[in-house]
Amino acid sequence: MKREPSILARSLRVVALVITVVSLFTFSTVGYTAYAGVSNVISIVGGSSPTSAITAKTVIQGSAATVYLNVTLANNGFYPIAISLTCLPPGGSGITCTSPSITLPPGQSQTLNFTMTVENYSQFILAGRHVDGQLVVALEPFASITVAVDLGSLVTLGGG
Amino acid sequence: MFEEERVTWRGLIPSAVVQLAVNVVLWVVIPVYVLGLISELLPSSPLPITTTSIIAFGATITGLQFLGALTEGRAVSIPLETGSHIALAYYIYSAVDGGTIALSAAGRSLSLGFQPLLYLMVLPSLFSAVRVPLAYLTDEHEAARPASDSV
Repeated sequence: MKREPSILARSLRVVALVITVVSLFTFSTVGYTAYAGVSNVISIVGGSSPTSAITAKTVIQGSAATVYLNVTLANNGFYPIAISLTCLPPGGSGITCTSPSITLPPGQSQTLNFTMTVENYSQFILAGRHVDGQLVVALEPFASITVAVDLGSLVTLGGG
Repeated sequence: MFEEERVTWRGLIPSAVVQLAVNVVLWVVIPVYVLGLISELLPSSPLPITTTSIIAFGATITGLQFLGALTEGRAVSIPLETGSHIALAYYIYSAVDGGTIALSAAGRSLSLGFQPLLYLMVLPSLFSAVRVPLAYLTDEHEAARPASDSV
């Protein structure tokens, strides 16, 4: 008679199988959510998205300029997506900005509103239009991507 | 009364050779190819793993798996299999720098954080490292126990 594995050995085998199945399920759903997010961003850039859009404009009043950036994003994946934009202006530069953050639940869309005010617009242009920023996109709770961005380039995005 | 199943070299060698080939492809050939692609795409980014360390890890895992397959059914295969699972978990962990990778391309820097996914990646290997000796010990314990009809 061939020796049968013990109950504990069989239970351990079942647990190993469950861990593998849960891992595969998680990786496939996270992969799909990431793919859906990237597709969404590509369709925004291409202007073909019915639910997402990006608008930016610069309003100049006297020597001050205000940049308004509105990004509407839809989450077509399975997990919430958290997006935050942090502005890091140099001290004494006369630049003030908001640091918005949104969390997109699956199947919903939201708008990220960012505003940056430059007190002395002409000096800002002469100084090279550079404002450090940080964009954090998180696929809650699994992964996050942090990108260093130059928010100063937004000033010309919407035109004068 | 149990009858021990006879394990012959003729049966073990082909499966060990298949394991060897599969492991070399999985842990050496594919990672080296992927590393080459990433290095070409991001030449200015310091990557957490090198070709040398891939070969070293791959050789360790493949060697342990191969020897484990050759000694299958014997007690000596248990530390070999456990060792290969631990080496694999550490290989995955160090290949992605603990789940935090910083990249830079075209003057832009980017940082990826995926620790929870990394834990999911190494969990099957770590669990197997515990399961293999535990299953062996309990099976030996069951075998040593006298049958219920024995006097």
